[in-house]
Amino acid sequence: MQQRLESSRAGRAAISVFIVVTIVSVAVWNLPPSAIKEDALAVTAPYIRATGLNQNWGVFSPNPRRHSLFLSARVRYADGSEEVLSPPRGGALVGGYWDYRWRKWAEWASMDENSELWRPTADWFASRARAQGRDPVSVTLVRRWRDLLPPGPGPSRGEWQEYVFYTYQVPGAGEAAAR
Amino acid sequence: MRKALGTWERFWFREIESSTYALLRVAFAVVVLAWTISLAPALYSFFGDGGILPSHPDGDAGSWGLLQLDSGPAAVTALYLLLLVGALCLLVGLKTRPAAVVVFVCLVSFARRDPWVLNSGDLLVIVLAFYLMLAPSGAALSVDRWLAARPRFWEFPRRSLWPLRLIQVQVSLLYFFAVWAKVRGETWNDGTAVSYAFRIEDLERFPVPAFVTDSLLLVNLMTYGTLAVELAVAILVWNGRLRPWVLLLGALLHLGIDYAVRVGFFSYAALVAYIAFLPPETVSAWVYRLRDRMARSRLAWLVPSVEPVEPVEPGGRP
Repeated sequence: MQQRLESSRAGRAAISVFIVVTIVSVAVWNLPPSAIKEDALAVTAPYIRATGLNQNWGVFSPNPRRHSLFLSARVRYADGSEEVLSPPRGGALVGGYWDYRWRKWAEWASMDENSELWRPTADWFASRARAQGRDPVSVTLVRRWRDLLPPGPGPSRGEWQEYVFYTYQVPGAGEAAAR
Repeated sequence: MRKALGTWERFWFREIESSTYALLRVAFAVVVLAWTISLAPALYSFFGDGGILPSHPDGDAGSWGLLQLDSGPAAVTALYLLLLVGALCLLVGLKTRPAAVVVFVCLVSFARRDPWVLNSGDLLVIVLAFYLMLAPSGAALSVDRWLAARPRFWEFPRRSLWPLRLIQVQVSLLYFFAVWAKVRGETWNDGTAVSYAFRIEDLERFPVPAFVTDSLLLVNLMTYGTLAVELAVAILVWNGRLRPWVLLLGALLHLGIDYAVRVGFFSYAALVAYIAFLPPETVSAWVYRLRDRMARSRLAWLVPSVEPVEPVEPGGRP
């Protein structure tokens, strides 16, 4: 069928329209923030999302992140003990092909502007603790970071800092212990 | 006007041997298979309703995904298995077009269910899936070809260039906009960006020695070199004589990123996209050389129809 379409003048015209719409839409999607982009996106964005072409190749741009960032969860249990849990991390050789998704998620979930992710994140850590047969009472999300200093002579990194940004009381916690 | 139309027709609708399409299909399917397998350990944590994102995010206009309907364990498992089977069918070229559609739909559905766990490489895989869905990628070196025309299995029927051209244009545009985005940043201008990128500890894969990341001269060279290579892939890739060198530099850049940074399948997806720039005659020659070598080896049983066949369609090479 595709070959039949390509062999007719009308078919090639239709494909040409598709090509132009696609290229223009991709170009608009990737433009820097501007008035023209905003106006054009109103028309082209639904097409880009429907086709899965919402690629943004802004890797390390406009600047790479200038700090290292880790997310961890302090889980307090009904028996009074505490444990620090972190997202899964694999080795350098093979792990790099599966744990990058956890890194990406930890980066987003640590941001103040993504507070809607905090509760599900804490709840997921609690469920991980429960899966180990523990009885979590609360989960505290902590971000640890240190700045990367400009290259050249002198230290290359700053001191580690940490900030508690969310505490979650696990619903129904401690019931197992009470029983 | 007529001349412009003629140029447009030649640029988009010229017919080429389908060997590049076949190689692109196989390479893409290998990446999708690896991508899918790597998803297995965290499948339900990422996409299930008991995971890190219990409900499907609200999509903007045009957004869609099958897991909007249900993201219980059964639905997630079914979608995963469908993606696995689709990728395997794509690899061998069995029901190639439907398989490409299945792979595209599954990839988009996973991406929409939890966009917070994806990076640019994952999105590039989806972009390639979209274009491969439009391409005659099962026309050669496929089970479909074997079933339809077994004696002519080793021929590469000629097909229209436009789906491959779209991938080429997409690659060119992406590098162009990547450079544009970077030159707005302070660290890409002062030549230190690569040093920061290589020192982010949570993204670090294999270590880059401190004498490299601390040397202003080396990081300046690497930072400006990255911009130069990306700009070259965006523009000079359209020059036939420079194309192999530009793509080689681009490939080295991506392998360097893959060594140092946990970017998942980003580099491999980019390398698969580069296949769109390989001349079909070159790919055909590689395939024939591999076939002949295999036919003379103990792997001969793997080579279908090893009898040399004279080409029927123009451009085929026995």
